[in-house]
Amino acid sequence: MDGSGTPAQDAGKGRRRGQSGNGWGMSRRRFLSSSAVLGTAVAGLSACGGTSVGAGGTTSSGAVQGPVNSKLYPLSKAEALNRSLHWPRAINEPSDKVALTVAHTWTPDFWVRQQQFDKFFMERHPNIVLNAQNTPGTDYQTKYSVQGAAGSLPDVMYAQYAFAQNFITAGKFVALDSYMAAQPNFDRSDFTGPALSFYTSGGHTYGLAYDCEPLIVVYSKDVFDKAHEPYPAADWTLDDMLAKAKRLNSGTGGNRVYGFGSFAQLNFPYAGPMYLQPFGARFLDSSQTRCVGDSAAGTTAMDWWVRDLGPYAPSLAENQAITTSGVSAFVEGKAAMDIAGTWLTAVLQAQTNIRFGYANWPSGPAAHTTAADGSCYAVTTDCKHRDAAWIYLNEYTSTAGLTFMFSTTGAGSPARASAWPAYLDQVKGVEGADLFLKALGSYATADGVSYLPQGPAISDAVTPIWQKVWQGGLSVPAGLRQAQAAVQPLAAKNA
Amino acid sequence: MAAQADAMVATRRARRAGRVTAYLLLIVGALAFVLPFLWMVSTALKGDKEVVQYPPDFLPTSFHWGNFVAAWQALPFNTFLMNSAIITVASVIGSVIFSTMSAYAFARLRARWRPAMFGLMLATMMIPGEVIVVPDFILFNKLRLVNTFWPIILPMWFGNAFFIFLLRQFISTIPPELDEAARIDGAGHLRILFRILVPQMKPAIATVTVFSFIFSWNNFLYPLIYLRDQSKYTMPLGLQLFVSSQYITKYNQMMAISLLMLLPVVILFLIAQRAFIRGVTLTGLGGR
Repeated sequence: MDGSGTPAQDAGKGRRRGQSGNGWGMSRRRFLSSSAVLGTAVAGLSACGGTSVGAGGTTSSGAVQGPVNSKLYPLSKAEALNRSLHWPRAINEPSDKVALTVAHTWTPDFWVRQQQFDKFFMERHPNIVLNAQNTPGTDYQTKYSVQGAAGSLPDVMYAQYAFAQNFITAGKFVALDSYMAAQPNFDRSDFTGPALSFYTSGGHTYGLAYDCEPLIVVYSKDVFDKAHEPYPAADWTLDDMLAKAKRLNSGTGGNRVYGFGSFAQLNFPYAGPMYLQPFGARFLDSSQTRCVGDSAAGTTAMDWWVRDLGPYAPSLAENQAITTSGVSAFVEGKAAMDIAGTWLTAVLQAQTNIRFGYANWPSGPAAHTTAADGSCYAVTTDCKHRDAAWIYLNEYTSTAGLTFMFSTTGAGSPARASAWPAYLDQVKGVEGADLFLKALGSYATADGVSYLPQGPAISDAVTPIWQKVWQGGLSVPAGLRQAQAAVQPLAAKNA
Repeated sequence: MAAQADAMVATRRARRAGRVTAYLLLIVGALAFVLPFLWMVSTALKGDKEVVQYPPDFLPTSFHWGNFVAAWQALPFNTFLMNSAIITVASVIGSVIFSTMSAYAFARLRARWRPAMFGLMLATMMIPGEVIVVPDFILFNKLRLVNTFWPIILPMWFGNAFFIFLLRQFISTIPPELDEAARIDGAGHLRILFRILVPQMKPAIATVTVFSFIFSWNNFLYPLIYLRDQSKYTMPLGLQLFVSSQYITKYNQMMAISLLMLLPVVILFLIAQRAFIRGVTLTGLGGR
């Protein structure tokens, strides 16, 4: 206290005479200069950059939010492609301006393609203004589950096979049957085999698939050539795959190359069609309301995968070590073969030097089946402009839309067979890329894939049990028995 | 004498050995903390085909400094940065001011139900944030505040139970005689709080500032739920867009942006090191 004022006034000054700091541990001058540096850095970084190529395009109807041009997807090429495609005729075109919100989940690169689609769509439909939302894929379901609970979903939204039924059973998606019936030249049969199965309930269709892929086998030509092993034949069997896995498995420790990159996990939603149904067994019945894994055929099947093929696949600890980097043993060049979907093509081409090819999922002793999966777009019940939403949905999932978005970008397996030639043209250097389409037309199935609302809970229930089997701490029959007991009450809730 | 000299030498040797051991342990501990950061730097500088290579190489074969530029330009991160800055500054200012006022009320104002209200406030700390996400969203949706920054900022303004508790406990250590002296001089509650108590509370306020900055800067869930337009996204949300559940994840660009995101927190730590360490001591927390 300097005695110049009242004790309170002096105490309020907060510092004694001669003290250089002010109680914060730094001088006022240093605090101000540091804040100035921080603020300048923020302002400077904010002034830098922006997106790499071009601003959003403006149309007569409205403006897209993001860039419409990039090195990967040049606008000029997109415009030429857009003009060359035959877009479906719109029904009930709005006479006044309406705004539609559409929810997507794309990477930054692919967002440019989405913005291009939206730009050209708004040029074709001047009264429909699109507000596109892009959400990180891993958090998409969280965000829209919350918004769905509050009755505030976007008008049109992406939904993956694994959670589409959650929204359908909650009454959040509009049944599209009347729109499909009214749409001229709507060809439902053009969708590949299992594509629409995941979005159907009670005989009604609630989503239109934009992609659908089967799970088949990817093999490393490098590993096969090094071992002078012939590539898989088109009609190979599970025993053929086992024989190859044995011969191609090599090395130990850090030099190990696995014969097969994945251990058969019963908790996978695909386990039924891939692991059990080839042996005449099932994990869930066709209605997904009963677990029937504990059977003689089920034991035979999983014994084969665990006891016979298992030694040539990563152990649980090895798998955890490998996948901490977020990629599989095959992508790291440490497996001769693995399970694959079409999404793997882009990953292997962009991030590895592996020479690879695709082979059919092998047939089993009782049947030839594999799992399919996919994604859709749907119109939500919170949408106030359903006719406009249908126009968008129909164009997006039409042959033209799928060709524009997915075939010509090599982004994935389009849900319509008529869009496949453009996709195969993109991946023509990849051996066996056409096997995906052939599988979709023959042995790929949604039957047995766990995609109803209890799917995640079923997977969570089976995971700890099957990890014990994987580690060798539980026999296959005991594992199946425990899994069935754990899953049965959950599966019953699917009814 | 000789024995004394021997004893001194032995003591010196023991001290040296102790120091060497302590330094070795510290180096190992520091490496354990620094290695993930160094791995981030290494990954950020790698080419696309080196990122998932196995066995991994710590040093990139060539340094791709362009990853930082490419990552920054892949999305409007300049906009995301500004949005994060706006939300963080507004949240911190509001959090500090209103938590301080609430803490003063709980510490100094007499009211019949004060203990019960304080207990109720503390009890809210037991409620996980995820539990109230849906009711919060319904509330802000009805207020037509979805797709704005307000649902992210306002909860910080309405007080964080932990900060209020911390500040209230700190105020309790300040002699109430100071308040009385100020009251005799005609000061009201606000003047007592801001002129008398706040200058005494700087360590606690610095702690609240630092922790609320870190929380707001890294806040992911509320921006995810409430923000729809990409032009309003924050840095954590923008960073997460690199992670794809469907197609290629560009880990190198993701690490580059993560490093850039770390910069403000690192700069803040360097500026407010003493306050940060004092805060950890005060709260008994580390890394929260």
